[in-house]
Amino acid sequence: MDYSQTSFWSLVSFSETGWGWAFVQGAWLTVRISLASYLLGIILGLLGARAKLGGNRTLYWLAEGYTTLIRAIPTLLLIIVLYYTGTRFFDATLNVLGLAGAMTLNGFAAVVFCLGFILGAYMTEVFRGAIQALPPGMDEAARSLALSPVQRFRLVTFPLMMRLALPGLNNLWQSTLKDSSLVSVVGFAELLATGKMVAGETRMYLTFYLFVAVIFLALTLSSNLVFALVARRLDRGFR
Amino acid sequence: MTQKFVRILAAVAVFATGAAAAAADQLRWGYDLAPFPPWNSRSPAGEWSGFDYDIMEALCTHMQADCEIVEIAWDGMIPALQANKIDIIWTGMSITPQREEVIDFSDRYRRGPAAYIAETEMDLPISVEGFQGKSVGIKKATNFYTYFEHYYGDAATVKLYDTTDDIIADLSSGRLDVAMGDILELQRFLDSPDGDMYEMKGVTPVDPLLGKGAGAGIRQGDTALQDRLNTALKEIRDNGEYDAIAKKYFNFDPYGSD
Repeated sequence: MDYSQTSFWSLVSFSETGWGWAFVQGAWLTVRISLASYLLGIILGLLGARAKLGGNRTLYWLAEGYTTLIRAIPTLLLIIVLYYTGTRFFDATLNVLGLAGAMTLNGFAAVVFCLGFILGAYMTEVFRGAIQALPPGMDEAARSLALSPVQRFRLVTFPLMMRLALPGLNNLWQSTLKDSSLVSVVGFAELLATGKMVAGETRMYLTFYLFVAVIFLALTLSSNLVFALVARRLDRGFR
Repeated sequence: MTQKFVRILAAVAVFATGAAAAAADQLRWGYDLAPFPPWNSRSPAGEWSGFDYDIMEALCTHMQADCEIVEIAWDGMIPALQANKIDIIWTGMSITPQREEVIDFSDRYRRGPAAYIAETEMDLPISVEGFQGKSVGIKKATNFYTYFEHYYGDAATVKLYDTTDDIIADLSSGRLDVAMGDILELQRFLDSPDGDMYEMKGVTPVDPLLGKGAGAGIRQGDTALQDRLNTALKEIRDNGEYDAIAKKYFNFDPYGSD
């Protein structure tokens, strides 16, 4: 089909021959993958920071190995390695259990696991830094009130350190949004892959790459608003 | 204990399972998710068409296989094949020595030739005599240049360009006698109003300098599939199905003459 006479707006329309829905789906997939891996990353990051600061030597070295290794390797390489070996490992486990072929790993879950696992290493360092920046008196005061370790973390350490971790977390969110485009190598038509698809089909490469850039910009700008709201809430009592 | 573990795993499965594993005679064909019409084209609804797609359909009918398309970014094709996410790399992977170290290929199923275009009134036999004293525009760092320089480099004056568009611009303004390049790109120029005064003078034959063409990429040692593909390919080459599909899209032979 020849698209040279077709206008840009009809190409991105929501009609049967327009790519509007493909872009909406691509952007939505980008947001979902980013959000899910971000949440997983936060959990792994909190666990990692806890392991690094908890005083247990074994846990410390485990966490140290995790952050060193993951942060030293390019994300694209990690995704390919984790995705393909991870799913192979999953299949092998099923084989051992005698359930060969009973199920396949859902691609979305696998991709979220990969990105979240990588993100967790960076989160660990952000949380560790934030926790270490808290005045020791805060924790001592909590102890003097006889709060349990869980209560101390939930009521004192977590809300106070989140305030300090937030700029780092915002950085990580922005890079996650963009890194999520790397999962197209394992077959996901997220936003950038959708852009490549439409660019190839219409041969209007520059136009559609710029269009994708504009959507990414819109996504980061709107997420900045959310971070600003969270920052305002965490800053209560500090001005 | 094992029972419990299996049950936990089953619970995870509810969250994490997709379809059951592929059936025995089901073939998963990897398509570059960025289409390249007219070889392959994708509608917004996700339906594929084009030369590659039609050839795949014909092959699947002959192999009596149940075929499924998996869209993957080009960079991830070979890892996906090796990790058993797909069975065949389709949509035009050129057979190169480097790739043959890690995967196997079927016989070639296409090899778009390079074309020569010039003004309609110019007499241009494709030979050393024909190119004597002619200026020929070719894209830099391509197999086309290697090929042309090897056979006709002494006769013609070769001028190198960054893009086919630049070659066409110089051809149109009379600074070049002949343009050599990708047949589809040159055909697009001939089909446009600007191309009225020009015609195709010939295409390149199959030559090692121009590469081996594109085949279906398969896992190393998957000789059963290789045999099935090659047999089916030979069948559609022999019974005219291939040519019928080719005629639908091109006015040249995409198989490349031997």
